Amino acid sequence: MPRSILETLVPLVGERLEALDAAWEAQPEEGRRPTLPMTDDGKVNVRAFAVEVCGLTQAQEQHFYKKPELAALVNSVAVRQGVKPIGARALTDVIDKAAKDRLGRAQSDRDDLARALAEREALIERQRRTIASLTEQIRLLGETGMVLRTGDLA
Amino acid sequence: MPGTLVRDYVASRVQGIGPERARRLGEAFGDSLPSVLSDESKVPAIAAALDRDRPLLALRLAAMAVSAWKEAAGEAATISWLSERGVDGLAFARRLCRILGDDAATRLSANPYCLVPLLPWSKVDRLGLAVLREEGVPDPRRDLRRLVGSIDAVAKAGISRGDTAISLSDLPGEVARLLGAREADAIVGEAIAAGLRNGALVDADGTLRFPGCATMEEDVVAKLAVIQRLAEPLPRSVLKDLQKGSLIDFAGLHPEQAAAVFKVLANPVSCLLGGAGVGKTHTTRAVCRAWEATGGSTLLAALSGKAALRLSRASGRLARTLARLLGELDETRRLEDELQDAEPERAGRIRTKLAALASIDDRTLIVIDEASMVDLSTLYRLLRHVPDRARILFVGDPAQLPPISFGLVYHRLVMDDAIAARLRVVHRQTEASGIPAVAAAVRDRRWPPLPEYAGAVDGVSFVESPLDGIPDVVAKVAADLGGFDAGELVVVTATNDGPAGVGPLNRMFQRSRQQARRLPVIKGHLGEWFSPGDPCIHLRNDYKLGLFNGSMGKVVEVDEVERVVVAEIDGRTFRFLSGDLERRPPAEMGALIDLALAYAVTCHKCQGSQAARVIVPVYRSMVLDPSWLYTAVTRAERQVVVVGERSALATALERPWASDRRRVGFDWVGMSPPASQVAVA
Repeated sequence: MPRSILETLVPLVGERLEALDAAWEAQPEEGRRPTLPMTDDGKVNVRAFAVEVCGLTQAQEQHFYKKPELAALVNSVAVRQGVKPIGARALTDVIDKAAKDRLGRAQSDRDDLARALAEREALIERQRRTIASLTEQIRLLGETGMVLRTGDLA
Repeated sequence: MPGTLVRDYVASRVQGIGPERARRLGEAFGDSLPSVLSDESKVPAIAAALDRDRPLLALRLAAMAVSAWKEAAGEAATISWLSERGVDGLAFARRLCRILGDDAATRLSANPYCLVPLLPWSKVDRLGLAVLREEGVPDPRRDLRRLVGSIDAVAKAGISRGDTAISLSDLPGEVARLLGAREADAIVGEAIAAGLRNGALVDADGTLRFPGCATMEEDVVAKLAVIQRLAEPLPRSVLKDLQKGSLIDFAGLHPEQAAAVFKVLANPVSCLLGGAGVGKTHTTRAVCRAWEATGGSTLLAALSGKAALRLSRASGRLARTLARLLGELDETRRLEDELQDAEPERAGRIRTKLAALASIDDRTLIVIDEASMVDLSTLYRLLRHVPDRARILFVGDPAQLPPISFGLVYHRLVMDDAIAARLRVVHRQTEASGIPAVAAAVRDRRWPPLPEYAGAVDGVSFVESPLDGIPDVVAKVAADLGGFDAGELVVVTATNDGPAGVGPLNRMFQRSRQQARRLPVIKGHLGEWFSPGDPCIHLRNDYKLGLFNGSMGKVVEVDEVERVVVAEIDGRTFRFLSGDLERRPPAEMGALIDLALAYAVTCHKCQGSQAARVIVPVYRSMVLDPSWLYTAVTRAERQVVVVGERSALATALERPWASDRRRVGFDWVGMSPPASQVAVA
């Protein structure tokens, strides 16, 4: 039975975090610099941590957003080093994307409905014109006794 | 079409798209608006441009805009198609589009002979041959479309004579004439075979029926047969009560009339017939009283306004014109449909409206007076509103001229003795007038000796005159009788043309009156002029307006600026638009081309009307026959002055009756009521 992704990643991530933390500890207390990779605005650089520190693929970066256990591990070190954790905004972005995807699908459904409705309206109008034509033909029958010849001849 | 025009067109044609929404369309699509409007798949995009805040409404409007544009495009294509082939007329093109739909031009290209019901054969054939040549048909004269078209044209000609069928022996001659061939030519046989193969004629044991008329005839027979079969017969106890006189008093009825009442009550479909003065109205009133005494209701109608008024007065019940009755029944049906989905408040208003309109249920006895004049088409329309268990009584005089329009129903129904109650004894022997006596003589093909004309004296008199002298004599007699102002005088003549025809007499009387009084005047389309006070007649069945071919009235106003004639007909006021024939009048208006002067009218046109005094010019004409003379004489309530040639009278009386000459496919044989019901009668 294959192991879950967490069972694989948690030991690896824990090991790398310990190494980073040890390196951070080893610095003089005053003037310690974070050893966790950071973005320009002081947040954990999740991609750099995942790919460069842990040796994961770029696609595996997502697990740090989706698996709270992993995020919690990283964040515990990040807080100690004064780095902004993998926070709400990043997680919200993921949710927003999912919501966007869903909204996109709903919009697409709405467009389908609108098209169906438009076709229905167009059909109603076509039928209205057909009814008007047949009504005129009945009127012609009443007035002249003649049936309008519209079919093919044999 | 420039963008602004397209926008304006859409705004004017689609309810809900005003200038603002039309502007949005222009902004969204610019010059490509016409092509966008031609494409149904663009409806969502059009809707988005029209109104983003109301997407559902916008979709509806967008679909309507596309539809309106397609109609316009179809109309434009049809106008262009016709115009390129020398057929002009915007009104005609529009009517064609309404009948054939948006693809009218395509259909016309496929078979130009489909125009036969709408245009004279000579025009259709010229157009048809040209189109077939364009198509590269090697021998257009023998093309199947032309051959079948010629049979359709034979049917059209027959219908215009009042027929609904043609005999096999008459057919080849007519076909040959239309195709420009001889009867013996092979093309004639080919055309007849093609016509039969394609349903242009329906073979019924040697009589060839015209298909549209045959449909109506079959439906009328089937409906009457169902009514005759399904309507509940009167319980014997009720009949006994009637016979004992405990329900109504039969004391005022002649035994013949009382027997007629029972026969009518015993038959869900029945006819009451007889000549002038036999008491048809008196008997009808007794039938109504008796039916109402059994718990039923009555609904009375007659073809003309005057006849309806007369029936109302005589019966003490509201009698409508058939036009009004049909209009009310159509409206009732429409409102009942609307009621299905109406909100409570609206439903209340609809019910109030419905209560004021005519309605027919299983206990209604419908009485159609002057039924001999009711044409097939009108009866067909009426019966579509009649429930299977209602009853219907036709009252009339089969000696009168047949209906103006095609078909013959009453004259055929009265041949069934099982449902026909005949009155023969003349009661209204108004000896002062003697009109019933003269009418009875004409029924027997006799012309009794008449006194010389002696001014305004009730009765029938005669002034001998050669044809050329008739107009002067008619003018003098009309002046003696007080003129036309009171609406009590009409000249009933045989033809439209000729010295004593409708046209010359109308022009004479109109000019004389207009010039003497310096009245305002408007020119009509047929060389006639109209002034206030002129008697007038409607020339076409117009179910929308509720006017029949033969409805008579009076001009009350002419508007020389707006080119409108206002006329009062059957107690209602109508506006008739003159001028450009291409200018289609609004729905509530008539066209002046359908209105004519009615100082003088043909006997066929006035058969539903009566006047106190009638002048009847008689001269040699193919239309003069016993039914013509009979109808002309019985148009008068008090006085008839016959002006003309004695020899023409004698010739007319020798001719066959008009109804016998009319060839129809209406067949009531075998539809008689069950023996038990007849026995009760």
